[in-house]
Amino acid sequence: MNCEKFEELLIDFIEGEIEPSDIELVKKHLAACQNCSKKVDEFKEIRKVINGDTHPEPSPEILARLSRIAREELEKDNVPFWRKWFYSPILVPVLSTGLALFIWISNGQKDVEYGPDDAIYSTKVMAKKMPMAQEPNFPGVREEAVSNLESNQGPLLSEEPVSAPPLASGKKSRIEEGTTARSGEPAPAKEMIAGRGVKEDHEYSRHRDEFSDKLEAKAIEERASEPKIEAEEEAFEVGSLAKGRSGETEVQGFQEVKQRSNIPTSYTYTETTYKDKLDLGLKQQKEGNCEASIKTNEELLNLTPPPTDPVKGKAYLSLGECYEQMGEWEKAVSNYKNLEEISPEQAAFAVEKIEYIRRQTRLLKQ
Amino acid sequence: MTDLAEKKEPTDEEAMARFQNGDVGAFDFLLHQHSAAILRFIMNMVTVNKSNAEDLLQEIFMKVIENRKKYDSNRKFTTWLYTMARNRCIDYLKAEKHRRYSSLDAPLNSETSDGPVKLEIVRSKEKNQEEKMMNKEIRAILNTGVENLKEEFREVFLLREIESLSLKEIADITNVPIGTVKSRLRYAYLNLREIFIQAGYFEEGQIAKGV
Repeated sequence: MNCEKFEELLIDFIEGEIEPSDIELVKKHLAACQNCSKKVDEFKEIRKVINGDTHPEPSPEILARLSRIAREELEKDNVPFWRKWFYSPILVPVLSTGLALFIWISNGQKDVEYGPDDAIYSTKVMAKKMPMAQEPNFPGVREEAVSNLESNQGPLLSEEPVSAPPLASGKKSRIEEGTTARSGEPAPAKEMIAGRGVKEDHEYSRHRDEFSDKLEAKAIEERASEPKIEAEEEAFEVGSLAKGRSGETEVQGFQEVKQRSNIPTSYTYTETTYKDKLDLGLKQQKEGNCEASIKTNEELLNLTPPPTDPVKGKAYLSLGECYEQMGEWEKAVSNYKNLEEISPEQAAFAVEKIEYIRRQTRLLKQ
Repeated sequence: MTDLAEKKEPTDEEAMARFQNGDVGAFDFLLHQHSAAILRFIMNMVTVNKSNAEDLLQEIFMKVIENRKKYDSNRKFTTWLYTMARNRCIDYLKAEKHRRYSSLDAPLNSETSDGPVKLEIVRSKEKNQEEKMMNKEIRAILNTGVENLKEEFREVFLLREIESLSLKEIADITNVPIGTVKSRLRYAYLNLREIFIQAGYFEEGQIAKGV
């Protein structure tokens, strides 16, 4: 065995892990080679130094801290998962975001909704609000419609208030524009709608694939079918407006109508008027002012429309009594007779009165 | 280890299994068993002061706590523990490489130049004192020698000679074959011997022996 081979086995020898077969060879070499035996001694020396070395112990603070950390970690194992979540910093942002989303979804967009139905609705509204020729956003369709109308009904746009007075005073001028548009236009517009109804298929066949056109067609259909009444109203309005184009004449016309209706009776009576008259007559009779009472009651009976039967009855009774008191027997009898006719409840009383008056007059004659 | 077994104390593996099941006492036992050795290993491995070494020690045992569920009790506990300690030390060395290399040259030179002089003084002392001083001196040389070993030699040497782990375990920890562990260990010894020779120790020892 040479020194090189020995060095390979040196560690095994020192560590005591050498193969038994090699031990003899190593021992033989060590006995022969002073250099190698010196190395082994030195290695053993080094090991002795190392083993004699003292090393510091870790400080008790560190050990205590580690022990405490271990305890805390083990306690975490016993904490249910939801409590970990409850105290985790994730929970608060997650919950608050969730809450915000919930509020937004449930409340946030309530006022503004953009569903397909609403689109239809808004188009419908526009169709109702605006004359057809003024409908916006349908470039191709609009031009076509306008030219169609012009060929059928003559120039339409020329009647529109294209050169209308500038909207200087806001609302008022807008109203004016509205009236002019109305007074000038409604008839053509209506005819246009009617025309549309007939020509609808032809007009829109090219654009049928477009959603917006479908919407418009729908709106037009509805408009064409639905408001016949509206059309009549418009016609009436047109008729009345045709007399006088301005709002002023319209008001005058209204007043005239009102006056005309009041001509047949210069007074208008209500139930209270009859009642007041009757009460006045009865009061005058009580006071002994028979002439005045007679006059009042006769006025009452001459009213048009005539008073109701109960009122008439009371008036005839009052008249009869007054004439009787005054000694005008004939008139008293005629009034009692009227009472007998009109009021079945007092008929017996009236007959009695008449017989009494006749007996009186007979006695007086005799 | 055998002592502990005779005293019917749990093995490291049993203690670790108990710690996994929530026994804090088992962790305290492991801490008591290995903290000093790990601290020693750290101090030799990365050559820092005790305070820094204790920081590293704490980090390593924190990893034991954190990764307790990952530990396979069929594996030897010391292998697992020293693997974590060794990896932490290597990370530390990587981070500190520049500082370490620049600061290590100086003490080595002064040591080698001062060595013989000191030894002369030592020889003039009384035998007991002489031995004490010799030991102190030798330890200083040894520490310097270990410090200056290459990393892979140093870790093998420390694990074998100071921590007394088996060659097989060292192979597992350092993730190399046993043959490599052996050769590294031999190089470590040879390097240390060189340092001792440079320090004049073995020449003197040889002379003393010869006489």
